Amino acid sequence: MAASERPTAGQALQTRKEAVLRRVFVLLAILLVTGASGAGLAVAQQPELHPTDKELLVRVRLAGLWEMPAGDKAQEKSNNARVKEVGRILMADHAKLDEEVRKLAAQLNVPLPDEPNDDQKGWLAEMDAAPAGPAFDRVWAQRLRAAHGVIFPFIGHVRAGTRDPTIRAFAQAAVTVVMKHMTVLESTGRVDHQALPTAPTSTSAASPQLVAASADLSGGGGVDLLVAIALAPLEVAIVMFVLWMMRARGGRLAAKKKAAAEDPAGRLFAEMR
Amino acid sequence: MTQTIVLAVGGPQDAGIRDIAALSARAAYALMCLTVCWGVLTATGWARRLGERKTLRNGHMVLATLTIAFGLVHAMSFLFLKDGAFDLAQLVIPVLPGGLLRYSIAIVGLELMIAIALTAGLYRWTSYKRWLWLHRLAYLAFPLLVMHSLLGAIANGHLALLWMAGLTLLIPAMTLAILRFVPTKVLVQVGLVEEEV
Repeated sequence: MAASERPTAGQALQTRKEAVLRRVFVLLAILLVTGASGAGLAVAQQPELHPTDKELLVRVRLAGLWEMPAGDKAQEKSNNARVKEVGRILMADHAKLDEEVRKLAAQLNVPLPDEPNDDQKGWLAEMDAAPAGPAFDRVWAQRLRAAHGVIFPFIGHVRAGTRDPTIRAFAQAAVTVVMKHMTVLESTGRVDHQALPTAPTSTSAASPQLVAASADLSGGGGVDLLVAIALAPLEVAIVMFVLWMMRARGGRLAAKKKAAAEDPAGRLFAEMR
Repeated sequence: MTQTIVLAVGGPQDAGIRDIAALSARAAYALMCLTVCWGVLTATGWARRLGERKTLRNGHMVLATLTIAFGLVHAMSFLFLKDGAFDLAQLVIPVLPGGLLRYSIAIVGLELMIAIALTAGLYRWTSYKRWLWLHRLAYLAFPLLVMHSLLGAIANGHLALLWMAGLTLLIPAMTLAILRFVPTKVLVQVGLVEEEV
């Protein structure tokens, strides 16, 4: 090659920059492709919700539909400060829980009711019919406490057995809220425990399916675990690829020597191996 | 979902504190993974194309400082809970009667990181090898804090988030940390480092 055809230092730098840019574009393309395939995998493996998972969302929605008006009635018809306060707690908690359940149902395509069921309408009518004061307080606290006692084990079963991580988190939140509501309702002193349904006599209350499922540990964490396993090697490959792109002539030994010469403190890092 | 859970245990005040704790924990986790990545890339010279060595090292130190700062915010936020607040001893002493394993390993991990940060400038006054061993404790603190994050995510019902976001950040850091201990000869063979000519 003639001396005049040799690339100048500026041209060589330009060529190197272009090469680096090309590599960056290739890397971005790979990241996009792997990201998209990962997302696709996650979407493709979205399993069908179990009927009890759907039922949980419906029942929590139904609870909000009658407990919020019930809390409101306490403000109108009770003379007891604690009953009114508990009513406000119920309304505030159910407002948030209701927002959460509607968001979750929309995300999981679960249709939700727009009004309380017949039983709940009946309980609200009973509260309307009760005379204001202690009589109302008793009906109010008893009906609400009994309803919470019914839904509590159901939510617990879903929390224990669901395969869906979103439902699991929601059930965990809901079971804690229901526990709180039972406690605050009892704190009004208007709950007659003798009139509440008794607890099941043995653990056979759990459905055989749930008991069988509890022994099957192989399916735990299914979708997320699969996605994670699929993505992990891809990520390792990407890291190796980035390192491969970043390698420079001279290797690490030259880099260490150069760095030590330029920056004495830096030798500490360069010599760490 | 976190908001709903805390409704039952401490009201809106605790809800805010727990949100801060969760946010700072995630920031600390992400920054810790980046600190490890950046540290290895700086130490090995893989990142030297991205800037001068001093700049790269300063970047590593900034990331490490932010990691510790967010870690401290995460830990200290539990002092201000209305229900179930921690006292200072529970945040500082790793092994206390009735303490959980995930808290113990977090305290050890964070204290190791603070020790590493405080002694980062000591190499001028001590032997290099001693300093190096101290700095290498980061490789012990890292898995301890990752384990704490994993157990914390399980306990709070956020495992799905951790599987995806947590592993996405963890795998590059782990890969680089492992490569850090692979002999140079092997790295040359696989083409990650070019042989000196």
